Amino acid sequence: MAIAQSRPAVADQADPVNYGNDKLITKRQLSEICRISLAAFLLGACATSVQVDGSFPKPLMQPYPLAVGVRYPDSLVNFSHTEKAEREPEVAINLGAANVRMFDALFAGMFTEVVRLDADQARPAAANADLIIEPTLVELEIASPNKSGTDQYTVWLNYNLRLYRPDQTLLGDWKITGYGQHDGGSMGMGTEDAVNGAAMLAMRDVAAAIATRFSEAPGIGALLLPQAADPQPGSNNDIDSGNTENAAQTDE
Amino acid sequence: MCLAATIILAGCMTSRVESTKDAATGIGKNESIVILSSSYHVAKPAEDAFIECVTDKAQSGSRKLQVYPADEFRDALFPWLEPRTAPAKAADLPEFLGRPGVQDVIRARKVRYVVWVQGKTEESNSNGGLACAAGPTGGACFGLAWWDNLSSYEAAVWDLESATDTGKVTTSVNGTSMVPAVIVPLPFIARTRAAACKGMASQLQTFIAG
Repeated sequence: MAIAQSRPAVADQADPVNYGNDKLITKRQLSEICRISLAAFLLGACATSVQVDGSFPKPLMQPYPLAVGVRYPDSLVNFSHTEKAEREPEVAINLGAANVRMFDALFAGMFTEVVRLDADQARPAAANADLIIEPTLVELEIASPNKSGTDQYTVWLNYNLRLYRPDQTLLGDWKITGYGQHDGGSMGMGTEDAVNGAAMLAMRDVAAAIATRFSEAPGIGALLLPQAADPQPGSNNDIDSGNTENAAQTDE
Repeated sequence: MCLAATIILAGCMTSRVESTKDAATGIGKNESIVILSSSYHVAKPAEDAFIECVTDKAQSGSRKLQVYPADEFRDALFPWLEPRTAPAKAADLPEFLGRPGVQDVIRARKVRYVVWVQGKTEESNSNGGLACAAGPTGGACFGLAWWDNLSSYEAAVWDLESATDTGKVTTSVNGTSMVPAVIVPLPFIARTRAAACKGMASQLQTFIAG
């Protein structure tokens, strides 16, 4: 009888199941946990995490006769971004290592001498450089085929290259944008490859813009003037002789 | 019977392949071509899968061509074949070829022609519908759905030796796919893109051989 009287107290929890020594979970709670776990699993299965993978070629060009110090801030080296659009699975993308690979290959082909500086390295180590470049990735956007109304994933990148004299005074900010599109997978499959492909193309687009339009960057025309050299015959590298002190320029 | 089944399963298709030649062509035994998708700054670039298909087909058969891998070619000439920098028209070829190191890279790889491919496959006129239901004893579908596919592509062939546009090859394949369902759905898919790929690759072989 004692048992019968005690049942109503747990009647709405029905058939308790003992898990462990001191925990009691009812079937209803178990069912709830299963439902939540399943939902979490399905959402997790839809979410995509992309570590941008791929190599970047050295540009085919006559290098600028400059010794350049390159400083990669932590925000560039560890860059990651999560895109969550309405009614779209989450896409997390990590570009940190790819950023370093891209700029290493690019600058190695663009300049006669490249020295990598520590992120917090100050003036003395840069004394022998003609120029110091500090790139940052300011913004990244990802559009899925649903969002863009195409059958492709697109990635849009916005970098800022801070250009300094060796004495650390700012020559200017040079904003560069890049765009890449890659065929999407079908039925949500292949999202990782598509986003990776679009990101790689966007980064190549950025690298191409930097390589081909460097002489148009703020303050660079004046810096190159003493060399009296245009390293890319046939390109539209106008000498920038205007006052570009602390200028900001956007290259779309 | 197998042939009939294949024809039915492939759906109904009509195809047209044309070429326009503006200059004489021809290719040496050791020379190769490279097949690239157009820059999106210029035209709608063909899908990666289509480029891969044409590349494969162009390298097969009795008139097969040597095709240099597109990615390796773009990398070797980086940054001059990226969407923002690639020559948009044949008149831009002398400027492209005049850039430092470009001629050397092309000569070392013996690439004679670059083929720029643009176009797409589109679906249109979706009609009908299917209704499916499932129960404890099984499921079934009833109905009829059909739609049209149009695959339309164009390839411009540029001669890197003479820095000229030698002409173009166009292919257009129209097809109707259908899925009738009486308990079990039976898809009859018109593979227009595959047919367009085959037609374009074959025509490119003839066009370039001269």
